[in-house]
Amino acid sequence: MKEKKKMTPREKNEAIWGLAFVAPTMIGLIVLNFYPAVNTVYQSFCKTGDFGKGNTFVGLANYSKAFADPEIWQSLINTVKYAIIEVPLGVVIALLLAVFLNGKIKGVSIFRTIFFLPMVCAPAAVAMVWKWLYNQQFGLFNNILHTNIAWISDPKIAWISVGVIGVWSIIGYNMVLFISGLKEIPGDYYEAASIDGATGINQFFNITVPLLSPTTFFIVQTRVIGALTIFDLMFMVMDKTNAALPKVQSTVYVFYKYTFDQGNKGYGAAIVMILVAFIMVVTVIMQRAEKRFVFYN
Amino acid sequence: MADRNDRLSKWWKTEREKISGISGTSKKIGYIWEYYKLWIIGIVFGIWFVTFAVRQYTTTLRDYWCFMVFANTYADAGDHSPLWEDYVEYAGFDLTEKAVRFNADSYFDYLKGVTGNSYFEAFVAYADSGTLDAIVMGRDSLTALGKTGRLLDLNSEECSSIRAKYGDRFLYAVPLNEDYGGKEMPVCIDISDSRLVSEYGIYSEPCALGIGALSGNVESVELFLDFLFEDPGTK
Amino acid sequence: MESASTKDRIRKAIVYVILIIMAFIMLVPFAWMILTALKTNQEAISVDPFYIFPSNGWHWETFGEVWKSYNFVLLYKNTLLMIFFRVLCACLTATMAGYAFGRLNFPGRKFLFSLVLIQMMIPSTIFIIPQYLMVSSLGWLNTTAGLVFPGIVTAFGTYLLKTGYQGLPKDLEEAAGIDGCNIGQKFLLIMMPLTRSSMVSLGIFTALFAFKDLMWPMIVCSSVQTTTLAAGLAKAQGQYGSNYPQMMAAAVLAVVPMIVIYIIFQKQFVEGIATSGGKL
Repeated sequence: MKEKKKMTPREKNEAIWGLAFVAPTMIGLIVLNFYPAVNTVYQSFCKTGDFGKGNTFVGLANYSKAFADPEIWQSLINTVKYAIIEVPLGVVIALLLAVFLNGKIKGVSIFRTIFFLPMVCAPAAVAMVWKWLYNQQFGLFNNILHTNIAWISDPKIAWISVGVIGVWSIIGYNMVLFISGLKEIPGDYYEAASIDGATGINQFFNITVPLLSPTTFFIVQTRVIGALTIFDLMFMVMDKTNAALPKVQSTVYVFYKYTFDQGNKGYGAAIVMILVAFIMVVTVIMQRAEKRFVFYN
Repeated sequence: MADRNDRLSKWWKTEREKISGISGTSKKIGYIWEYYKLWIIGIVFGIWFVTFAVRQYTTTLRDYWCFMVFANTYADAGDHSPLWEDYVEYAGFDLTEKAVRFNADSYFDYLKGVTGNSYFEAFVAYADSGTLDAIVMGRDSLTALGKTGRLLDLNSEECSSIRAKYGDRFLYAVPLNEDYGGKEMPVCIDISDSRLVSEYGIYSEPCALGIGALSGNVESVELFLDFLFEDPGTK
Repeated sequence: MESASTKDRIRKAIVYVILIIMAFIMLVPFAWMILTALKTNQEAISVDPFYIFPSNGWHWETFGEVWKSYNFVLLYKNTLLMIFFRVLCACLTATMAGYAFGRLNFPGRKFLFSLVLIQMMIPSTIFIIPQYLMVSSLGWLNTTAGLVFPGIVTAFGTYLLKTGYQGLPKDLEEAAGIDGCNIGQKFLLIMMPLTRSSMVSLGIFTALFAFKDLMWPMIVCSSVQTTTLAAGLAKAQGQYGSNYPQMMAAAVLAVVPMIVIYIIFQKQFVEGIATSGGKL
C-alpha cells in the first residue's frame, strides 16, 4: 500500500494501462491453465480413486514414493542429457543458417521454405525416415559407415540418436525466430560498421551477436523448457519393447505412462510437480544470467 | 469520471458537426468508415460472437442420456445408425431433453500399447471427466483396459441390478493398483452372443461392455444391455 | 582488391555448400512422404529389399483416390477457420501483454510474468480434461469456437513479443510521449508496427501448432462435419488400417496449404524493420 501512495499520476496512468493490457492474457491463462494446474497439485496429494471409488487424501505419500523411485531419477537424468544435446546444437546451427540467409544469397526464399518443411511434415513420416536411417541391418548410416551399430536400441548411444532427431526437427523452428530477430536489428548499424571497415566475421561477433542476444536468450529459454518437457519423440521412435527405453525415456514420458496408460493420476501429478519444480530452478538461474549476458538498448 | 464524460460529449459534438458538414450520404458513410472502421469491425464481431455464445449455450444439449464408445469397429454404430435408432426407441428417451451419443470412431488396443495414441487420449478425457457411460470393444482388450481402474467395479452398489441379471457374464481383471492385493475384480460384461453381434454385426470377434468408472447413467447402460439381450420373439 | 574479391567468392561458395547440404538433409522426410505415397503398400513397408524409389511404377492415382475418399474441402475449411481465429486471438492478446511486460511498469509485473513462464513448464496434457469440461458446459462441442478455445491466449507468444518490444530502442517512445500520445496510441501507432516480424513468426507458429494439434480436435469435434485436417486424417487412418501410401498421400495433401501460407507470410519477414530502420 505504501508504494501506491508514492505513485505519481504518470506512474499510475502507466500502471492502469499495463494491467489493462495484460488482463486478457492473464485471465485466459488462469482459467485455461492455472485452474487445471491447481487441480493437479491437489491430486498429487491424493490416492487416485479407481473403479468408481473416490479420491482419498494421502498427504505426501506420492512424493515420498516418487523420490524413492529410481525410474524417476533416471528419467530426470535422461531429460537433462537430451536437453544438453538439443539446445546448444539446435541454437548454433539455426543461428548460422539464419545469418547466411540474411545475407545477399540467391534463392533465399527457396532455402527458407526448405528449412521450414520439416516442421510441416507428418510426424509419422519423420519417424519412418529416422527409423529407417537408424535401422541396424538395412539403415543408411550403417551401410555408409560399414558398421553394425544398434543406433536406437543400444542404451549407451540411443540417447544421442534421439537427441540428433530432436536437433534436426527444431532447427527450422529456431531459424524462423532468429530470422525475425535479425530483421528487427536496424540496418544502419551494419552500414556504420562497414564504413568503419568491419568484415563479415567481425560484424557477426560485434553487432549481430550482442544485438540478437534478446532473441537468442528467448530461444534458449523456451527451448530449455521445451527440451525438459520432451515427450512425443520418445514414443515415435522407440518401441515399447526397446531395451534402451529406460535410458532414454523422459520424465514427461513416465508421467504419461502413469497418468494415461495406468490411470494412476495422483502419482503422475506428483511426478509433474517434481519436474516443474526442477524446471523452475533452472529458469531462475537462467533469468539471473540474463542480466549479465543479454544486451538491451 | 466527469472529465471523461466531458471529453466524450465534446468528441460527439465535433464529430456530428463534421459529418453534417459533409455533403452526400455516400461521402458521409465513407468518412465514418475511414475513421472508425476498426471500431465498427470490432463491435460487429463482438456482437456476433456474443450472440453465437448465448445461442450455443441455450440451445445445445449438454447432458446425455447415454454416452457410449464402440471402439475398434468399422461398422456403422455412430449416431443415427440402426443400432442407435433402435436403442433410443427401445429406451423411450426424450431427445429434446438430453442427447444420446454413440461414438464409433475410436481405435486403440490396450494390449498393443497406447502411448501417444490420440484415440486413447480422447477415451481418457471422456472417462476421467465422467462423460463416458460405457465402452464396447474386443473382450481381451477391454479386460486389459479394466486393470487401469477406468471401468466401474461391477460389484459396487450401483450395479446391483445389473449383477442380478448379467452376473454370470462378468469378466474379471486384476487391478494394476496394488492396494487391491492382486484380487480379481469384475470390470466388464461379455456380450459376444448378444444382438450386437448376431443382428447388428458391429463386431465379428468376441466383445464385451464396460461401464465408465464415473458414469452417472448406469440405468441407461442397463437399458442398453436389456435391449441387446431382448428376446427377438417379444418384438 | 583482387585478393579480397576471391576471398569473398570462396566465402560465398562455402556458404552455398553448407546451405545446400542442410537443405538436402531437411528435404529428406518430405521427399520420403511423396515417394512413399507413390509406392504400393507392399513396397512401402518392405525393409529387405529396401526401396527408395517405387519399383513397380509410380502410383500417382493414390492422390486422386485419397482426395475422393476424404472430405478434403470440408476439412480444409474447418482447419483454416480454426487457424484464422487462433492466430487472430493469439496475436491480439499476446501483443498487448507483450508490450505491457516489455515496456510498462505496473504493480505485480514480475509475478504475473513468472506465471507466464510457469505455464510453459507444465506439460499441456494436464489441461485437456478440465478444458474439455469447460467447452462441454459452454455447449461449444463440435463448433469452431470449441476448437479455438485453448488457443485464445498464449504464454509462448506473450514471451516472444515481450522480447520483441524489449529489443526496440528506448528513445522511440520518449519522442512519441512528447508529441502528446497516450500509452494506447503510442502502442497502436508506433510500437506495434515495429514488431511485425515477431508477430508474423508468432502467427506462423500458432498456425502450425493449431494445424498439427491432434488430440484437442479429436476430443471436442467428434463429428466429421466439424473436425480438422489432422484429426480427420487420423480417423481415416483408423479406417484404412496402416496403408502407408494412402496415409502419406493424405499427409502431403494436408500439408500443402501450410506451405502456401508460409510462402505468403515469409515476405512479411523480409519487409520487417530492416528496411524501415534507416528512417528511424
